[in-house]
Amino acid sequence: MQRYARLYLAFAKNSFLNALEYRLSFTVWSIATICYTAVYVASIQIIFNHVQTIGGWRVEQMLVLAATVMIVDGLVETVFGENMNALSGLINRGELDFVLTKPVSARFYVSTRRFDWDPLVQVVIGCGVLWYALGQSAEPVTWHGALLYTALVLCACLMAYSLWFAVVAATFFAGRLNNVGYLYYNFIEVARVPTSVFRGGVRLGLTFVIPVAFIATVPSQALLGLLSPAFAAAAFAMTAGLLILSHIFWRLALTKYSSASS
Amino acid sequence: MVTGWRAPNGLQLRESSQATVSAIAVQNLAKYYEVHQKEPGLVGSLKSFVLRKTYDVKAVDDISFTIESGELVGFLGPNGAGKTTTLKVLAGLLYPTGGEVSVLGHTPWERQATFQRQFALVMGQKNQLWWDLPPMETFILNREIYEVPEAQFQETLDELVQILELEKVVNVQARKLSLGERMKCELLAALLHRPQVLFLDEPTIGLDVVMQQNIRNFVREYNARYGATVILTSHYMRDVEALCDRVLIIDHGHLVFDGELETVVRRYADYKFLTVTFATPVAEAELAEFGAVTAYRPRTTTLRIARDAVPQVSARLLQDYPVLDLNIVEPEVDEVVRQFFSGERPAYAETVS
Repeated sequence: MQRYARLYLAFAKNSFLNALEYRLSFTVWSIATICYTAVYVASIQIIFNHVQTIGGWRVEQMLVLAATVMIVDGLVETVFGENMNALSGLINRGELDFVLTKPVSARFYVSTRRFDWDPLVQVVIGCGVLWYALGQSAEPVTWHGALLYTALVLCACLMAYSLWFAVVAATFFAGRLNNVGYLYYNFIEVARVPTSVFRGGVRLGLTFVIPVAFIATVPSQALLGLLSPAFAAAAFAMTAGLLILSHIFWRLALTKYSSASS
Repeated sequence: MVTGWRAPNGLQLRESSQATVSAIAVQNLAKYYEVHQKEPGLVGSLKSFVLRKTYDVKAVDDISFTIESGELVGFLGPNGAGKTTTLKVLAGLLYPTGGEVSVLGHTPWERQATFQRQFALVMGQKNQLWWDLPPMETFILNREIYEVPEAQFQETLDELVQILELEKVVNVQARKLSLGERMKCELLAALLHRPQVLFLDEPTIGLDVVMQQNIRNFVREYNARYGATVILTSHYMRDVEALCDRVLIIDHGHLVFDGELETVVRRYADYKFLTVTFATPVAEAELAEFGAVTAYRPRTTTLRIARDAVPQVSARLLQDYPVLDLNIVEPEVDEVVRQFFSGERPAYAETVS
């Protein structure tokens, strides 16, 4: 465990050095993220000029949801994003060879090797939006609500990562799956609306089949004191389940690795 | 040299009276790839999309051999023969279709950390250095991955940097290095944990002659200094010639020769190519007296000359003709191997396949 912590630090350090080689990248990312956030928040305000609630959510609650999506997405992209985008190429070009010969968990290595400092901006701005939204809210945030929120945000990150990882790992079977990783971004888009706007089967599917509900809706409800304990428990169970299932899938997929010729 | 000798039961016995553990033992190894076939054209593609006909390609088919600790062995064979596939199974990258493999007493594809700490894989066409960082950062990362103690790391690093003459290179961004410098750094990165077994897949590909020589010297030195077992695949005859006493020739997934390189070269590459440039045109018929003309132009001609006759023929050409330039070239490994298969096989090869 300690060894992996050291390794992770080494990865992060190398990634930081890497990022320093491209100083402009961080600045451009920051500006782009600020602009994007401004447009996003404004669009929510504009919609609420015409309606009182969306799926039962008031404007400040929607902003909490928006902030949560930003935080979860930002964290996932910071820790896993570059790795997931690179993984398909590693498999397709046979560059996984070097990973698989090293005395370290291959999943750990391919999932965390590159720490992307750029999307951290999004997390910071997301926290800002969250602060603002909670200031607008009438009900105070409780300590245990905040704690549960933090835990559920981490669960959301791990769920999103597990799904992303499994989808990309399917490359082992197909040899090449162009842009399959982009499914993650579509997934995050769906998380931007509260699950209560969907009905019946769709809502059920978005909760327990493709767990979009757990990405932002469930953590936001926890923070706003609207979450039933059963859903919190379900979130933890789903996280553990998805981590394990994606691992089983990865192990199975590895046996299909054909290591592109050299 | 015992060729292709197989222990009657169990892999790890040697033909000597005392039983020692072989570094590498391979028994009836097979690796099949499933590929699909498609008729040409759009209709063929659509058919293949709906109803895919697959069949197995036998990349490696029933190969057995053992390699003792400290040996330096070359894998030879034409493209697609199964050399690299065999190497990848030994490195634990691929799951075999059948057979048993033991490397340092481990089954490679179980990928146990204790096994992975003891070998290294270097591929001339793939790199593990962090592209935007100096090689030093990759070395430090590998130190963490392999848990090399600080003192040993520093000692090995200093030693390898000195042998490979990398003093000025290790702190320069990897993408700004020349191919040769990068290859040397790849070797260094792979050897920091002092592996006992080293798999080299085309380590000199694309390098110039001087750099090839450097890499070769280094591999020999590493082998001698640490007693490491080395398997090398290469297309360059010189690599194999300079480094390996023993070669395994693989073709169509079968092991067809296991023995001393000299035997192969003497028997199947008992010639060299002589490329001569003349100041004035010389008739083909005249040159044919010296040896087989393989490429003729009035001023530049390539002759195939028996190995033993090369010095005399060169001397006579230089004496009797206005020679501007004369080049003696070894046949390519692929050519030797092709020769090997087109000619009749030596009797003892039968004991192998």
